[in-house]
Amino acid sequence: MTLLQAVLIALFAYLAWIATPWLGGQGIAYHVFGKPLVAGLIVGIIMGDVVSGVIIGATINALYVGAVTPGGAMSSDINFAGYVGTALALSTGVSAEMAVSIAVPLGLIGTFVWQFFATVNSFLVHKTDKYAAEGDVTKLTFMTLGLPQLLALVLRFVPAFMVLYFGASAGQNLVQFIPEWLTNILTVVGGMLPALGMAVLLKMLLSTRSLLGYFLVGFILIAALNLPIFTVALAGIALALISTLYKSNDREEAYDE
Amino acid sequence: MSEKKIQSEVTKKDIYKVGLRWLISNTSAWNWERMQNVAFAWSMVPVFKRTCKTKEEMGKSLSRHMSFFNTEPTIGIPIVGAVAAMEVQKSKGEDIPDDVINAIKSGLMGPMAALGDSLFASTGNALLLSFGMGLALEGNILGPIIFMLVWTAITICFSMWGIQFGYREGTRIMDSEIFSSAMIKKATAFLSILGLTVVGGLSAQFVSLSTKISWTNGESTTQLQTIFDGLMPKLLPFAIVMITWYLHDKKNVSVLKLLLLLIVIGTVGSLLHIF
Repeated sequence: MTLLQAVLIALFAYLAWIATPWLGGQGIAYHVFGKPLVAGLIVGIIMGDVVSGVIIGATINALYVGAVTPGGAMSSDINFAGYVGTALALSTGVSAEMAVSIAVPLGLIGTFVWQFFATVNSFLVHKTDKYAAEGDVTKLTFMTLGLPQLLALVLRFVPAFMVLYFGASAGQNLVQFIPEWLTNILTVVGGMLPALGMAVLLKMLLSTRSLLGYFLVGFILIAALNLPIFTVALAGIALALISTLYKSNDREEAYDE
Repeated sequence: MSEKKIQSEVTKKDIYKVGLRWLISNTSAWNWERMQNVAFAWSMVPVFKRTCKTKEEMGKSLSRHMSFFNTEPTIGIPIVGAVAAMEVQKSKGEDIPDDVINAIKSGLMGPMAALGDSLFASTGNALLLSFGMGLALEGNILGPIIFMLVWTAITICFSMWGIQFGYREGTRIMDSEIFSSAMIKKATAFLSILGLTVVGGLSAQFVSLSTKISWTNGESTTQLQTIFDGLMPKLLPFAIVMITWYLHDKKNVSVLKLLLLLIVIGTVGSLLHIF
C-alpha cells in the first residue's frame, strides 16, 4: 500500500464516521458512506480493484447489516471495519470470508474510540454551557463543529493510518506463512459471523413468534430456489400487502355487523 | 438602533438552515451526559438570530436547549422544527413556558427514536442495503452506487420536509395524525413482514457453514452434508441463525458474548474437522 493510498483511506475512515458532519452527518456520513458496502467501493477505487473491493465490502457488511445505534451504544464500529478491513484484505489478497475475520477485531477497536470521544465530550459540554449562557454564537459553533472534530480527526485518522500503512506490509508477509488450519478457522468463523447481524435484525423485527414464517419463506426462496434478492423483496412486499390488507378488511367487516 | 432591525421575521429559508444544521451536527458533539444537546442548541441559532434582541436573550434561549436530548436524528427532525415554531411564538409574546417546550421535546424524542431506529435506520436502511449487497456480491458495482444515491436522497428529502412540517405544526405536533398509533402500527406490520422475508433471504445468501463429517460403511463413504442437502439446502446456516437469534432475543445474551461464542464454535469445530 502506498503512502497516498493509506492517507486517503484513513481520511475516509474519519469522514464517514458517525460524528463527522462534512459528508452530511449521522444521516448520510454514517448511514451511507459508513457502510462497509460503500467503503468497499471507495477503497476499491483508491486501490485500483473496484470489483474485489465491492465484493469484500458487501461480505463484511453482512455481519453488520442489523447494526443501528440505539441510544448511541455501538456494538461495533462498522465503518472502521469496512474501510480498514477491506483495504487490508485487498492488499493481502485474502478471501472475502477471511476479510470478515479481519474486520471483527477492527470493529471492536473502533468502539473504544467512540466511547473515548463521547467521554471527552461529556467534559467539554460544561464549557459549552458557559458559552451558550453568554450567548456567544461563535464559541458555540467552535464547541459544536470545531473542537470535537479536531479530536475526531486525530482519533479516527491516526489509528486507521497506522494499521493501514504498517499493517498492510506486515500483513502481506504474514499471509504467506498462515498455516492451512488457521486459514480454515478464519474462513469458517467468517462464514458463521453474519448470523449475528441477522439475529440482531430478527430480534428487532419479530414482534410475535408467528412472524418467523416470513423469515422461513425468504430463506427458502434463496436457499432452495436461488432467486435474486430483488425478487425476494418483491415477494416480501406481496406477503406484507396480503397480510395488512387482510387485517384491515377484517376490521371493516367487523364494523359492518 | 431602529426598532425594525432588532426583530425580523423568521423566513422559510431560516428553517431550512435549522434543518441543515441539525442534519450535519446531530452527533458531532455527542456526549454521555446530555447526548445531542449541543447540536440542538446550535441548530436553533438561525431562529435565535431573528428573535433575540440582546446577547443576554441569546444566552437565555441557547441555554434552554442545552438540556438532555436524544432521538433518531432523521425521523426526529420534526421535533426540531416544532421547537423552532414555539420559540418564534414565544418571542412574539405568546405565553409558552419553558416547561411546555421541554415537555414536547422529551415527550416526542422517545417515540421518534423507537420508530426511527426500528423502521427507518434498521429495517428501511437494511432493506436497501441488502438489495445493494446482493448485487455487489455478484461483482456488480451498481450495488453500492444505487444504495448511496437512493438513501442519500431519502435522508435529504425527509429532513427538509420534516423540518418544515414540524415548523408548520408547532405545538400541535403532539396530536398530529402522522404519529397516530394506528398508522404507525400499520407501517410497522408492513415493514416487519417485508423485512423478515428479506432477512430470511439474506441469511441464506451471506451465512455459510457446512460439515466435513463423513463415515465409511464397507465400501461406501457417506457425507453428512449430502444428507443435510437432501433435507434442505443450507440447513446449517439456517440452524446457526436460529440459535443465535434465540439466545439473543429469548435468553438476552449480549452481542459481544454471541460474537465470542460463534468464534469459539467455529474455531473448535474447524480444529476437530467438523466444519
